Amino acid sequence: MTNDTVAELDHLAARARRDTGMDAVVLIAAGLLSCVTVALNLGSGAPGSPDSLHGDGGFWLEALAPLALVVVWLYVRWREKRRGVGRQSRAVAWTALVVAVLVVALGPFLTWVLGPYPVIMALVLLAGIRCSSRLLVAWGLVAGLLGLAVGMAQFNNRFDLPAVDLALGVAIAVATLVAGVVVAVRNRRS
Amino acid sequence: MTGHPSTRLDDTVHQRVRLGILTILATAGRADFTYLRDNLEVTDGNLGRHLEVLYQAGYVEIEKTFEGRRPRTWVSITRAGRRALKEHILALRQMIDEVPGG
Repeated sequence: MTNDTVAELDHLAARARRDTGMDAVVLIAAGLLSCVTVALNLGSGAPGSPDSLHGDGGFWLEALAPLALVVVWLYVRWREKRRGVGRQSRAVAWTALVVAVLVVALGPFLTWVLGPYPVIMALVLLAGIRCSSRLLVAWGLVAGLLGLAVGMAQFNNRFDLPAVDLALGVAIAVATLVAGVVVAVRNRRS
Repeated sequence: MTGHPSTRLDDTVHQRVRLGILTILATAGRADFTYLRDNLEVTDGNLGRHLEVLYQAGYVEIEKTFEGRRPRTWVSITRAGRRALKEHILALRQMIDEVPGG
């Protein structure tokens, strides 16, 4: 076995990882879900006191999260058929089914108290564990905990920093979407 | 485990194209014939022969499907295939470590 062969095997594995990677699709789905939820929350807030984490968005999340999972599953299935590689669609389908039931069962309470991020980032974290993706695990943990802290602070009125809470709520949503797009562009270029 | 690491090398796995097939399948889970052929840059006949060897050894499973009228061959790695690849790479690493300056 020569260095050329080792390099060739590394290249083959890297290409297969790129062709079957879930980072971009999960982050874009989570980012879109977050942006829509935050926008609905802002739209339904009381005039003069906008709240990015609590409002009608939490209610809609119960319907949008399972829908997003179905869209991700359809996309992954289509991608597998088109590229001829990967077998994540089956795992995505089963995970989506279990998670959809949990989201519908527990989501209303969680989002009402803590905002949408514990639910959305739990999905990202789960996808990261399932796909062995450090990026998704790290993103799910950091964004989820940050969103949880802001959501709790807002619910308890512990910190009187509505502008900071508002900015953090919006920033997590936008950053997740941007991260997904950046990963997708990088994958396309490599 | 005793003896020189070379005694643990698996001849079925060691061949360059077969090592490539198992590497792709261990990473992706499964791939179709066209994906393997294009990425390994081999002919249909050559790939078919190597897949047959891996299938006979129980390292891959081959599933033939139809999409409309077009036949499509999906290849997936078995547990035995994953184990064989892992042990083969381990033996190779040990051999490289034993080479002075390796």
